[in-house]
Amino acid sequence: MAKEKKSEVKNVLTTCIYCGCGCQFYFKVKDGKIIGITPSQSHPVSQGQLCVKGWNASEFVHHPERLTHPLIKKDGKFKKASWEQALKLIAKKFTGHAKKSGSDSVAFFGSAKCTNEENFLIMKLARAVFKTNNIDHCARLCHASTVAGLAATFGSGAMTNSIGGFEDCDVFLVTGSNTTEQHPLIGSRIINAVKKGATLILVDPRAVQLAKHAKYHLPQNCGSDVAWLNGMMHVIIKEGLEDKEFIKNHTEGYEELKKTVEKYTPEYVEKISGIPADKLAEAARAFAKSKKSSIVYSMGITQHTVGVDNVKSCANLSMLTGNIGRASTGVNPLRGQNNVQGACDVGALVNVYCGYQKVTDAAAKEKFEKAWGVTGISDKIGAAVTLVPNQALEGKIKALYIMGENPMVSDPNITHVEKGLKALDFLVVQDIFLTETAQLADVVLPGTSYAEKDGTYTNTERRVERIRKAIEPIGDTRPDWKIICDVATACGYKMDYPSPKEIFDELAELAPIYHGMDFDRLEEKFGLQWPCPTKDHPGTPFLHKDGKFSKGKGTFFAVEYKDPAEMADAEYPLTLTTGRSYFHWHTRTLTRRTSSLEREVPESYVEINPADAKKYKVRNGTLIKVSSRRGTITVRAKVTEVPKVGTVFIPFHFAEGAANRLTNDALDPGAKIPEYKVCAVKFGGSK
Amino acid sequence: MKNLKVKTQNLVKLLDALKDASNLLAPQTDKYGDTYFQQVVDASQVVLKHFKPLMPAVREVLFGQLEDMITFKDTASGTKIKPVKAAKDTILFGLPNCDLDGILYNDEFFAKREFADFYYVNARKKLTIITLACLTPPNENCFCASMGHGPFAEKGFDLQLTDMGDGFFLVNIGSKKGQKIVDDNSSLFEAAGEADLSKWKELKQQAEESTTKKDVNKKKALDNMGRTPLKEQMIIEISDRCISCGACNYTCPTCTCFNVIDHKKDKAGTRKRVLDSCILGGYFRMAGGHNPKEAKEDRTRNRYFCKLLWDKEKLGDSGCVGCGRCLDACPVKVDIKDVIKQLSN
Ligand code: SF4
Ligand code: SF4
Ligand code: SF4
Repeated sequence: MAKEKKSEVKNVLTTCIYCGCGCQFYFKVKDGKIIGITPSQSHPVSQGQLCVKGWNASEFVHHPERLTHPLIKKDGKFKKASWEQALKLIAKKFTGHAKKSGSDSVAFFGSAKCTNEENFLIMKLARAVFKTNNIDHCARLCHASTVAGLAATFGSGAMTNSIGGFEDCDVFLVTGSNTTEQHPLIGSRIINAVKKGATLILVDPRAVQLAKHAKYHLPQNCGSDVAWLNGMMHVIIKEGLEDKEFIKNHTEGYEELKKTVEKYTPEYVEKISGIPADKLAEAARAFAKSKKSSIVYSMGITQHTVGVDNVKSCANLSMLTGNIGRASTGVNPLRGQNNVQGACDVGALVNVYCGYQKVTDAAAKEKFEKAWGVTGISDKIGAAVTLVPNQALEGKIKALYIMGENPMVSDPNITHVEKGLKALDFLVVQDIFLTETAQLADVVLPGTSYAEKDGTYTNTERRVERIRKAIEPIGDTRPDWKIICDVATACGYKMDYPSPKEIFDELAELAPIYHGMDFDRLEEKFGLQWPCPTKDHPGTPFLHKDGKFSKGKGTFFAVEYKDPAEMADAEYPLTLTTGRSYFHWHTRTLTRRTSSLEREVPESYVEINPADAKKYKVRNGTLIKVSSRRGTITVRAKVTEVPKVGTVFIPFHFAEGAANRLTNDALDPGAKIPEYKVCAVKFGGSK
Repeated sequence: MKNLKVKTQNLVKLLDALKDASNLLAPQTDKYGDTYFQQVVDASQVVLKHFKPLMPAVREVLFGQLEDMITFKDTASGTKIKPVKAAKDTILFGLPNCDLDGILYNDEFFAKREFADFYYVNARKKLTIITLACLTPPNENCFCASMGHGPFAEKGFDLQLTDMGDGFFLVNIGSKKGQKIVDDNSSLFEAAGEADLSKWKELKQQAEESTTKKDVNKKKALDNMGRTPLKEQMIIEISDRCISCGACNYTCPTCTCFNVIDHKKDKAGTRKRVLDSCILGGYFRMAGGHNPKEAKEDRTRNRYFCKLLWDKEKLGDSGCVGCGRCLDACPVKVDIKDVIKQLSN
């Protein structure tokens, strides 16, 4: 045997924490520290590759600013506390409010950054322990309209196809997705497909990197999506390019759609969208004539007051041309966060349990009551993330528990969010760094990072994948699933699992789409794609095979164009649209502590077209004020051809120069998603 | 060079002995099907077929992705600095020649110039290298022979093994360290005869042919690089596809750039070095915000100038050893061979 003690170097396969592509890589661990990352060569998404965020996904783990013990605020200052003290206080406050002001006076935010198991438990905490459906998470802010829109049209609110099929597409319609920056390993596949001869239609107000590869780059006016989508369908129907067989056999509602799009001639659409009529018609023909056309969209479609209408229009176009239910076609909403798909699947949403079983359905209620050994679960839809600030201000919600989210940067109209959070009697934040939101908390609980725990994430193509513990929890931190168990137990409901494996078993038991999965099966390959209803089911690479929709027939929804809630006018003459930068993730909590990423984009900026820069006398590189009806921020001007004339762009990552001081919190009436993508701004102060 | 041979089962015994005496890293395949350098616990698990890891061997112990350098603490009596633990004796087994030549390049860069890099030199002294010659290219992206780098090693190894296909590996001894391993385990080795040697030469020639790409002419390319600039259109085409992932730097056995950062809270912290990438704008940006290579094309161009011109001016030879990793790890399949081919005309 070895004489001297050897240095312990191990390699642990895990899933990237950043985007929904779900790449897998190995942590290289030495002496309890992560010293490197190597992409898995066998994994179907990574294939030996990662984007810059994946390559740099470990530096923050050992950052000394990590929270290492619970904090309780006394007289406006945080004091170090024991777990026992913190849990006791939380239990007292939450049970106290629930008893005094009713179940719906407490609310919970799950997290698209946490595991399926953790989101399952926090929704169980809300529903089984507190009998409230006030459980939601940031999917509300990104794809709530997808979940609602695709469930209505197809019966399943998820990406229909797989990442593996992208390189074989003939035509891509990419809209509202800066794919190379936000889903880099999907963006790269689009670029590779174009190199092999595929046609790319890009509809985006910004000339993002994909514009260089697009045969048609059609910069639309922000918020005009229903109009140009109807316009494409108008051309397709008028020229007889629709898939008549598919429409007849697999869909309903076609006649009404046909009637509605009648008036959307390319010329009429041009007036609304700014897209040249002849170009739109050409793109429509290209899309309809190919055998394998795929629609790829992201938040440029969803984050509107008409988000659900936009999604339905995408679904209409795919059904109209029969581009669904086959490999390399489909409607492919790219889910942003590593586990936003999973957090939705496991029911961290106001209206559904895990597996999209409705809280309003009596049978579902009974099923969950029985499984959890409780009675009196609420059948009333809860308060969405975006409604919580108002309800706090109205005094309806008194105590809020936030697991790993940072609404003080991520939510629209932050000034209002701040007022709401301050109006609460009690705020708990569970995170790994003291975020802008955690600073407002009464109790802060330190979770572990993804490197310190086991669990599963579900990527954008519905692939449930393992994350694996590589190092011991740092300081006195606990994995988020353990913390939720501790909180539930302190509140009088004994919640106890030996490990995430058993939590997953309970989830699979209760969610039909996950039913056939367990940790052993997930271990065999690189995860499984839902639906996976039985133990011998191989998983589902693409949905709605052969036009057999989850809900039976696919439904066309005839949708009319509506203006965004706020449009540029004489006082606020520019249109602001927001989004992300390649190098940062969401509220920058992790990427600001990752040197190579932070160095790329160290501060907020506003992209301005040179024509607007000239018109408003803005010099590149100077600090300028940008104002909307809701606030004013100071950011650095970046004069560039990327945005179209009249439109400016600000990334939302930054707490200083926060785009969300400006954005409009107007909501889609159904999905309650805010209109991040359009509001009116001007240069200069507001008063 | 004295030549020996070793039976396959004796090679496993040798690895078994080495793993006990030192920290032995060798390619092993895990249950997910990925192969990479891992600490050897069970010698029978070591992959004995020639193999090219995605991450070059130099990253294993000499110059990694994220390394602690010192810890520091401000105290009343000044700043207290502690260097991190010293390197340990390590044997790297089973690396291909491109990896060995990558390490030799890093030796030139880190150890043999005016300022020797403390961390690198320390780890390097304690490193023993046993290469496994590639008989055929591990994948289609290899072009080492075209760049004059193998696939059989000429120098720099402690031991080189070649699979003779008859249950034996031919053993070349390249250094005193290598000789010592042989001496300490002499019962496992046997003498190689003339017939073995001529067969080995044949294998070597075949291997060189199989890793040569006909349209890559190194000499012409390097000469041209000094004279005619790269074709603008090709660079723009590459830059338009590139998604700035950094992989072509991170996985290159001859990329040596790093950034130094402090992880600090209150008065104490750790100084680390992080592998850097010249495709990133921040790599070039100056303190005042001016960036001489603001445009991505300029950064794309930088890598080719570095590999194909400046390295030659600085160290006497091109930095590209033809391993093809920058293509293996590139999401958009950017191929340095295309650049070299264009320069070969
Ligand atoms: S593409 Fe997404 S999942 Fe893959 S490495 Fe990048 S951020 Fe991570
Ligand atoms: S430039 Fe590419 S082919 Fe050349 S040594 Fe580096 S990784 Fe290998
Ligand atoms: S590996 Fe490819 S995509 Fe990544 S930085 Fe290099 S050239 Fe660009």
